[in-house]
Amino acid sequence: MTLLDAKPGDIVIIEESSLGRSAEKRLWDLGLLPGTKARVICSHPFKGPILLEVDNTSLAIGRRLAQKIRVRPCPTAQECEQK
Amino acid sequence: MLGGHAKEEARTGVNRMQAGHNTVTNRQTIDLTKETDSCSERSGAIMNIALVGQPNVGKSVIMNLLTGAGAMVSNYPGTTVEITEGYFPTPAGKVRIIDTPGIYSLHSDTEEQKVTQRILLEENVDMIINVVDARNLSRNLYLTLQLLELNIPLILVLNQMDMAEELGMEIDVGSLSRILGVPVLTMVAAKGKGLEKLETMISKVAEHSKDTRPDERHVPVFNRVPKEDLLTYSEPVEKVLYMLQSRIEDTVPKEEGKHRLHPPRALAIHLMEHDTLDEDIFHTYPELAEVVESFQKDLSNGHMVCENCFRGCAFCPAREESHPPLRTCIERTQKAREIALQVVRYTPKSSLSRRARIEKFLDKPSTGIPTLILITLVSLKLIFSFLEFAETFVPWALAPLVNAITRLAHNFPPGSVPEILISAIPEGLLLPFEVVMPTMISIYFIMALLEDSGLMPRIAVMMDSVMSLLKLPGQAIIPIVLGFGCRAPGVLATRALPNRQSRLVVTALLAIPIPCAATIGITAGVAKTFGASLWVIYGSVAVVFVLLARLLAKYLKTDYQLILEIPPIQFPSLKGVGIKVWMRLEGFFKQVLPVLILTSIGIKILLNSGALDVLSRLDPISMKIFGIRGQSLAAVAVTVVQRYAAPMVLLNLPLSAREATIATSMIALSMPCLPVSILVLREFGWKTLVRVFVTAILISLTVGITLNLLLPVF
Repeated sequence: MTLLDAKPGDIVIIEESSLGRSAEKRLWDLGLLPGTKARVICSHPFKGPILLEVDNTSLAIGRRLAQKIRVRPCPTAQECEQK
Repeated sequence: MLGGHAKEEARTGVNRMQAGHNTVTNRQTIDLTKETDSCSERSGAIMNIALVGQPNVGKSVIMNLLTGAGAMVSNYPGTTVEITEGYFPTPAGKVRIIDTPGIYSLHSDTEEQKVTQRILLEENVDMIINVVDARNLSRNLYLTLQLLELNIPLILVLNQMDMAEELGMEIDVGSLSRILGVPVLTMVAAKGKGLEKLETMISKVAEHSKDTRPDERHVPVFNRVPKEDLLTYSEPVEKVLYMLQSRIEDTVPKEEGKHRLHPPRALAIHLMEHDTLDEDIFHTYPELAEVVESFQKDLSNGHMVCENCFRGCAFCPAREESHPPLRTCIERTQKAREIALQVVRYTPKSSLSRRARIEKFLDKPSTGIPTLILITLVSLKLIFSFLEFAETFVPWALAPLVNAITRLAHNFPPGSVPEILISAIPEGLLLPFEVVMPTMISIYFIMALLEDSGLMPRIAVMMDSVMSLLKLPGQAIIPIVLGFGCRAPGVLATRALPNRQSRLVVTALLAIPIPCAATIGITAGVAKTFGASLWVIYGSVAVVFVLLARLLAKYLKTDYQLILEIPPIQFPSLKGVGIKVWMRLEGFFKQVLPVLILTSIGIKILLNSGALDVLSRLDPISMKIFGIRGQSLAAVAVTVVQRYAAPMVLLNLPLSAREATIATSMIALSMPCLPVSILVLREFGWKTLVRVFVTAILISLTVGITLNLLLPVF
C-alpha cells in the first residue's frame, strides 16, 4: 500500500520511496526513512496534501509524492504506541 | 608562495606533535599574521560562534537575545539566503555571533545548507551553539551528530522546553550531556528563560579562548568525551570510511591554518553522502574531487572491491541502478532515535493543551480551511489599509519639505539643469516613502506575524491543490495574492517559497502579468473613456498569466511537490516581530532609497530633453504592426516608472476604442515598475532583472501584434 491509501488515524511504517533525488533527500531530512513510524493526521480535500505526524512534528506531503511512498500498516497498535 | 606556507604549516603541525613546547613560540608568530587576515581580527572580536540548528527551533530568537538590535541582516554573497550576525559583549572581549539559516542536515540539497556549509568552512568558527527543538529530539540530534563529526567545540541548547513539557516529555539532560560529550543547556528562548546560563557559558569560553591560540581552543567546559561508539558506524561503513580517509590523508595537504575545521574523517563522511561535486567544499579542498574520481575508477575497473557492498555510498557506481537511502544517513537516524529513546520519558497527559486544541482545529480541513481563508483575507485587508493610510499621510507629512525644495527650484530659471535636478528630488522622495517603505513595513510585519505564529505553512498546505494547477507549490499563493494589491510586497513575499526556481517563476508573474490595484483602477478609467474592451484586456492578462506560469515552470523545471514541516502554533511576541521588521527595513535606507532618488532624477532629465517625442516619428510602423500610434508606445515605456502612471499618458491622446484596447493591453503586460525592478535586482541580481525586462518587452510586443491581428476594426 502507499501513503495515499492510509486513513486518518492510521499508524504506518515507511517501507521505501521512489522519488527524485532532491525530493528524497528532503524526506530523509525530515526523518522519513525506511522503518520510520508515522501517524496519518488527515488528508486535505481537492487532491491536497497528506498531513503526517512523525516524532512529534507534523509534516505535509504533496499527494503526488505520497502515492510514491510505500508503507505497511503497523502490526499492532500497542507496539506503535510505545515508540 | 601559498604552497610554501602550507608546507610550513604542515611541518610545524608535525613538530608540535613531536616536540611539544619547543615550537610554541614559532607557531605563535605564524598565528599572529594569520589572525590579522581573518575577519574576527578586523572586527575586533575574540572568537566566532555559529548558531546552527534546524528550521523553526528558535535560533533567531536566541540570536536577538544575545546580540540585541545591533545585529545585521545580510545576504551571503551569491545567495538569497539571509544571515544575521552581531556581537555579544563578554568581560574578555566581544564575541562575534553568526546566525546560520535553518538546515535539517549538512547534506540536504538546499541553498540554506550551502550557506551554512560555507560559514562553517570560511568563517573560522571556534564554537557551535547547536539549538534543538526539545520536542523532536530524534530528528534534531541527527544534525547534532553531523556537527559533532566536524570536531568543532559545541554547546547543545534544548529550546522550547515548555512545549516539550506540555506534551508530557521529560528529558534527562545529564545523561544526554554524558552521551554526547557536550554541555547541554535548556531554554525557553521565547520567554528569555535559560538565557543567563548560556551567557555565562559563552563568557567562560571567551575568557578561556582569549589566552589560547586559535587552533588549540580546548575549552575546559568541553573536556568531556562522547560515549565511545557515538560517532562510529557499522563495520561495512567503517571499512569504506577507512579507505577513503587514508586516501584523503594522502592527497589533501594537512593545512592547519584557514580550514582547520574539517578532519579527514569528516571529509570522508561528506564524500559518502554527496553525489555532486559543485559544492563549496570541493573549492576549498580541490583534492577531494581527485579522491572521488580515483575511488570510482578503482571500483568500476575492479581494482578495488567492497566486501558486502551495501549500495549506500553516494559515489558508488553500483548505486546508479537504484538509489536506496545513504547508509550513513540511516545509521545516523537510528542512532539519533536511540539516544532520544534513552533520554526522553513520556507521561501522557490526560487532556489536550490549549495549543494542541487550536492545532487540531486548524489542521482539520473542515474547520481549518475556512479559518485560514478568513485570516488570509484579514491580513491582506490590513496591508492594503495601511498602504492607503500611508498614501495620504506621507505626502501630508512630507509637504513642508517638498514645498521647501520646490521653492528652492524656483530660484533657478525653468528648464535649467539645477531646476530639473532639484525638482526631481521631491518625486524621488515621495515614491519611496509613500509606496515602498509602507509596503515594506506592512508586509514584513504581517509576514513576521504569520511566520512566527506558524500560520504561514498552514496557509500553504491549504492552497497546495490550487497552486499545483500552475505547477507551483502551495506557498506561492501568498506573494501572488499580495501582488494584486501592490506587486512590490509580492516580490518580497516570494521569500516564503522553498526554492529559487519557484521564486523566479512567481517573481516573473508578479513583474509582468499581475496588475496591481492602482493599475486595475486606472485601466478601468481609460477603458471607459475610450470605450475599450476590458474583457479583451483582462482576457489577455489571464492568458499570459497561465501560459507564462506553465512555460516558466517547464523551462526552469520547478519542483513543486510539497514537503513541508508544519510548526506548532505559537503566539508571536511583538518584540520578536518588531526586531524582525526593523532589521529587514535596513535594506530600504541603504539600497532602495538612494536608487529611487537617482532614478527619478534620471527620468526627469529624459522627459525634459524631449527624447521621448522622437517616438511620434514611428507612427507609420507602429500603426501597421500594433495598430497604435507611436506616442502610445511612449506610454508603454512609462510603465518602467510606475505602471499605473502609463495609462494616464494615453488619456492625453486621441485614441479609437480599438487603439485604446490594444495599447492598454500592451501596458498591462509590459515591463515591471521601478519599485519591483529594484526589488528584483536586490533579491535576484541584475541578470534576472535583464531577463525579466526582455521577457516583458517580448510579451508586450507579442500581445500588441496578436491583438492587432485578431481584433476586428471597429
